[in-house]
Amino acid sequence: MAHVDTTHAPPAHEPSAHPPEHEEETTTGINHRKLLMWVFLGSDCLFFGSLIATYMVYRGQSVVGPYPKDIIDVPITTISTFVLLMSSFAMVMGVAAARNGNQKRLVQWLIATIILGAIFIGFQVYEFNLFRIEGLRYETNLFSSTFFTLTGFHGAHVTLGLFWLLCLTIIAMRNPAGRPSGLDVDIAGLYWHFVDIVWIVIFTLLYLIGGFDAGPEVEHAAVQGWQWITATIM
Amino acid sequence: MSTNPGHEGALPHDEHGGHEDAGMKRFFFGHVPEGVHGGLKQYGWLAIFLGIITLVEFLIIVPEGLQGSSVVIAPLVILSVIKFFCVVAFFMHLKFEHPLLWQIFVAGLILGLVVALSLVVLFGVLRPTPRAFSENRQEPFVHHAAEEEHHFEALVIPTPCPVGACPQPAAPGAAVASSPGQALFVGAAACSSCHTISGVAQGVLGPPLDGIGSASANRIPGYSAEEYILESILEPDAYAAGTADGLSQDYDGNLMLSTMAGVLPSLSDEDIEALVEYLLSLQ
Amino acid sequence: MVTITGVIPRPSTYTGLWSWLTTVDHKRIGALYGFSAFIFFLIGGIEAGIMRLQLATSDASLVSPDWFNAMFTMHGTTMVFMAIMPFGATFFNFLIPLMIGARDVAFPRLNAFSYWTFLFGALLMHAGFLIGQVPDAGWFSYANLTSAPYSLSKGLDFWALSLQVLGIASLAAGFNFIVTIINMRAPGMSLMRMPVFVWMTLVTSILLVLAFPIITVALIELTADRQFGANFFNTSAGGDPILWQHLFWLFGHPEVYILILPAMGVVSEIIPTFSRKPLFGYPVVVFSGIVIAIMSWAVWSHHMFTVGLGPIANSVFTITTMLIAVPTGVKIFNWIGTMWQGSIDLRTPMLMAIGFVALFIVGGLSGVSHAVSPSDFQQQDTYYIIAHIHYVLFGGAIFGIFAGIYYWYPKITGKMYHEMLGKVHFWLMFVGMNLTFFPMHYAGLNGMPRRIYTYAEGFGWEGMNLLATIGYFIIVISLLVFIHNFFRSLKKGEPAGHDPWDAPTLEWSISSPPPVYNFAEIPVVKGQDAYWITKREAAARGETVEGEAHVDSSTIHLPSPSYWPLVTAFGVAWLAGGFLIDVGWDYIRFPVCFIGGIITVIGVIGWSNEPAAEEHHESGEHH
Repeated sequence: MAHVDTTHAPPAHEPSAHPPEHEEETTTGINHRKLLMWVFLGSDCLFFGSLIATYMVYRGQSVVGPYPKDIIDVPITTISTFVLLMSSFAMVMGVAAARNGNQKRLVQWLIATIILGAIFIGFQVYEFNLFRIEGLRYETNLFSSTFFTLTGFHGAHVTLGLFWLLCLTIIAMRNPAGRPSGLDVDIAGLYWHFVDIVWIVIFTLLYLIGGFDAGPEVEHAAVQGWQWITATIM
Repeated sequence: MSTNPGHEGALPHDEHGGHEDAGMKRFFFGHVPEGVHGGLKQYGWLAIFLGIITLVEFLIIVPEGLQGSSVVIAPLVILSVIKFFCVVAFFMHLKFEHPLLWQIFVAGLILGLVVALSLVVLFGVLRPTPRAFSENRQEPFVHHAAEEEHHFEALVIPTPCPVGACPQPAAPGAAVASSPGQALFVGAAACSSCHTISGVAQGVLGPPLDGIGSASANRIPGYSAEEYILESILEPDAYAAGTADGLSQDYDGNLMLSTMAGVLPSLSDEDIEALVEYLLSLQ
Repeated sequence: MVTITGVIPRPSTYTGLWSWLTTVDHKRIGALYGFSAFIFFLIGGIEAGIMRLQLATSDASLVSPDWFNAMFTMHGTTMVFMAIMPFGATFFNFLIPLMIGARDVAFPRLNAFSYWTFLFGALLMHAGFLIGQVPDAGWFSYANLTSAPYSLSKGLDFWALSLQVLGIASLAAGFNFIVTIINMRAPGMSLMRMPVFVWMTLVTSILLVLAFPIITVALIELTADRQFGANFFNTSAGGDPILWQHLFWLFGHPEVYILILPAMGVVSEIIPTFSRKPLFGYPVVVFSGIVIAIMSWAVWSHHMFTVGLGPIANSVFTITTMLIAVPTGVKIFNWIGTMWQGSIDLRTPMLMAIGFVALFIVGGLSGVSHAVSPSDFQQQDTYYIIAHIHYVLFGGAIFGIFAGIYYWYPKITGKMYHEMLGKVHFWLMFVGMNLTFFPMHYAGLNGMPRRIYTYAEGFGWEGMNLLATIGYFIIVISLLVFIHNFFRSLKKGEPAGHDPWDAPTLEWSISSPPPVYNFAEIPVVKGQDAYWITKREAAARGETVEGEAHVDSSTIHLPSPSYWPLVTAFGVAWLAGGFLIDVGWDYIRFPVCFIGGIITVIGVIGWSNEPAAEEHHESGEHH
C-alpha cells in the first residue's frame, strides 16, 4: 500500500476478537445507543411540548361541558402519580442491579417496575372510562380532545415502555448470565424515567392547576400566568 | 456541572459496579466521577423525598379557596420543577454523565418550553382583538368643523370610480330592499359584489350602475334600455360598457361572463325580469 | 424470540435485487435515496408542468380547478418532502461516513429503515392518485380547509398519514446522523476540523429531530379531527385554525433550513476545491450555520403576518426575520471571499455552486422584502411569494444538489461525467430557472394571487405567465441533458481516478467508487482540509499520493445485511395505510391497522435479537 497518510493509523480491528457485548469505541466515549436515546428524549420534549402547548392554548376555551372541574379527580390521580414515581424508583434500582451484575435483583426490580407501571395504566383506563360514562367523550368539547390526546399519548408511551421492560425481564429470566447488559437496562430506564417526568408536568398543569377550570368564563391560562409574572416582578 | 477528565475509549459502565456507595452528601451535592451510581439508600431517600413533594402538592390544593386560584400556580410549578430535575439528575443519572448528554437534553427541553410558552403568549397575551386595538388608539372626538371635510378625504379608500360616477350619499331609506329586484341585486344574484349603486351597494370592481336605467337607453343604437340591460346580464361580453363610462379597459365583460356563469343557472326567468325592472328604475 | 431470527436465514448476498432490499451499506442506501428522490423530483416537475401549461394563457381549461388544487398541493409536498429532503439524505448517507473517516453510520439498520420508511410513505402518498383521492389543500394544508366538512375526499387523510410515515423516516435518519457525526469521527477529527458539509449535516439533523415532533403533533391533531371528530380546529367548539398555522410553521420554518443547509454545505465544499483555496473564514461559516439553526426557531410567524397576530407579534417577527438574513449574508460573503483571488476552475460543479450563490442572493433579498410585515401585506399569497420560494429552493437547494451530484459523480460511480454536457445543463437550467421564476415577481406585484387555476385576460398577467411556461420547458430540456449525461457517462465515461479535483476531504483519499469497507485503515486527521494536508506533506517528501489499494473485504468487520428494517418499515406503512381504509364499515380498519402493528412488532423484535454484524466468516462466504 503506497498511501502515506495511514502509517500512524491504528490497524483495522480484528472483528471476531470482539465479544458480542463489546461496546465500540466512540469519539466522545459515549455509547452510540445511549447517545441515541438522549437525542430521542430531547426530540420527544418537543413532541410533548407541542401537545402540552395545545392543551394550554385551548385551556378554558371549551364552549360546552363537562369542564375539568366537573370531572377531574385530583386525589385519585395524585395516587397514580405517586405510583408512577415509585415505578421510577424501582426502575433505577433495577438499573443499579444490572450494573452490578445481580441478575436476580434485576428481575425483581423490573417486575416491580412493570407492576407499578401497569397500575398507573390501570388508573388511566379507569379514569378514561369514568369520563366516558360521565359524558366526556373524545369529540365532546375542546377540553376532551386536548386532554385525551395528551394523556393518551403519554399512556401510549407508558404502554410501550411496559412492553420494553417485559421483553427485558423475559430475556433476563431466560439468560441469567450477561443479558440484558447493564446498558440495555440503563437505556430502557432512561425512557421510563422520561415518561415519568412528562407525567410530572402533565400532573401539575392538567390536574393541580387546570383541574379546577370551568367553562369559557375562566380567564385564559396565559393571561393568568402573565398576571402572576407581572405581579411577582412588580 | 462535572467535567470529565480523559475520555480515552468507552468505559463499559456495566463492568464498574465496584464503587457503589458514593455517600449521601457527595451523591446528591458533590462532585462524582462518571460511572458512579447510588444504591438503595440514595435512591430510596430520593423516592421518599419525591413522594413527600407530591403529597405537599396535593395538600396545597386541598383548601377549596386555593383550588384553581392563581396564587398556587407559583408554588406548584416550583415543586414540580424540583421533582422534574431530581428525576433527571439522579434517576436518569444525568448528573454523572458526559456533559454532552446534559446539553442535548437541556437543548430539547428548553426549546420545547420556549415553543410552548411562545404559543401560549401568542394566543393568550398578545391575542389582539380589533376592538381592543382600535380602542387603544382612539382619539377623543373633537368637532372641528373646518377640518372635517379634509379629514374625510384622507380616510376615503380610493376605489376605481371615475369622476362623476362616484357613489353619492344614499337617499333616505334606500338601504332597505325596496323591491324584489333590489333584493336580488344585493342577495342571490350577487351583483353587488362587483357593482356599486349609491346607497344600496358598494362594489369593488365593475362599473357603477347609478342611473343605468336612463343611461342605457341610448348606449347601443337600436337597443331599448330594457334590451340592453337584459343582454348585459345574459351575455356580458357582447358589449363592453367599461370604456364608455370612462373606466379602465380592464373591466370588460369577460370577467363578468365567467362570474355570471356561476350565478345565472340559479336565477329563474322571473328573477331576471325583476332584476331588469329594478335596474330600469334607476334613473 | 431468538427463534424468529433463526427461522429465515440472514441474507448474506451482496449482489442482485435481494441484496439491495436488505442492504445496510450507507453507500447503497445513499444510491437508493438518490434514485428515489430523482424519480419524485421528476413527478413533482410534471405536476409543475401541468400547472404551467394551465396558466400559460388566460382562461385555459387544461385541468379542472379541483385537479389544479391537487397539482399544486402535490407539487409542493413532493418537492419538499420527497425530493429535496431525500436528496439531502442521499448526500448525508453517501458522504458522511466517508468524510469523517468511518466504515458506516452508527446504526446501519436504522439507516435502511429510514430509507424504506421514506419510500413506503412516499408511495402511500401517491397511492391516493390511484383511487382519485388526492390532497388538495396546499402543501401547508391550512385548517380548516382540511376539516372533514370542507374536504370530503380522503386526499388529506393520505396526506396527513403519509407525512407521518415520512416524518418517522426523517426522524430516524436525523438521530442516526447526529450520533454518527458526534461519535464516529476518525482520530484527530475534532469538531472544528470537520468539513463544512459534515457540520451542516449535523445542524440539519438537529433541526430535523427537533422540528419533526411538532408537525407530528399537528398531523395527529388533524387526523384526530378528521377521523375521530376531535375539535382542535373546529371553530364552533372553540378551536382555532390559527393553531394549525402556528404548529405548521413552527415546524415549517426550520424545515426551510433543513432544505437549504445541506445545499450550503455542498457549496462550501465545492467552492474551496475549485478556487484552490481553503474556505474563507471556516469558523464563521460554521458558526453562522449554527446561528441560522437557532434563529430559524424564532421567525415562524412571518408566514402569518396577515392573519392578525397584532402589532407586537408582527413587529417581533419582522425583526427576527430580518436578523436571520445576517448569518445567511455572512455565509455568502465567505463564499465570495473564498473565490476572491482564487484560481477558479469553472467546471460544472463550480458553475452550479456559483449559480447557487447568485440565485440564493436574489431569493434572500426578496425574502427580506417580505420580512417587513407591512410590505408582506402586499405580497402575501401572491406569485411574488412563489418567485421567492423558488429562488431559494430551486435556485438555492436544487442548484446546490446538482452541484453536489456533479462534484461527487466521479467518486460515486468511478466515472467522469461529460464536461460539455454538464455545462450545457447548467446554462440551460440557469436561463430556464430565471425565465420561469423571475417574471413571477412582477406577476405577483401586479396582483396575481397564488393557487388560482386560471385568470381572466386583461389583468396584464398573460405575458409573464407565458414566459414562465417557456422557462419551464427550458428547465425540462436541461434535465433531459442531465439524464443523458448521467447514463452516458455511467457507460462510457472515462475512469475518474480517486481524486480528480485535488479535493481537501477524506472521501477523495479512497478509490472511486469506494470499496464496501470505505477505509482499509482508518485515517488520522491532522487538521482542517485533511486530505490537502496529507498531499502537501507527501509533496514535501517528494512522494505522490495514490488512492488506497483494495484489500479483501472479508478481512474487515462490517455490519451484515438484514431484512428486518424492510419488514419494520413495511409494518409502519401498513399501519398508516390501514387508517385510510374506508369501506363503509368502520371497524374493518382497526384490525387492518392491528396487523400492521403486529408486523412492526415482529420486525422490531427480530431486529433487536439479531446482532448488528454476523460472525466474521459468514459475511465472507459469498465471494
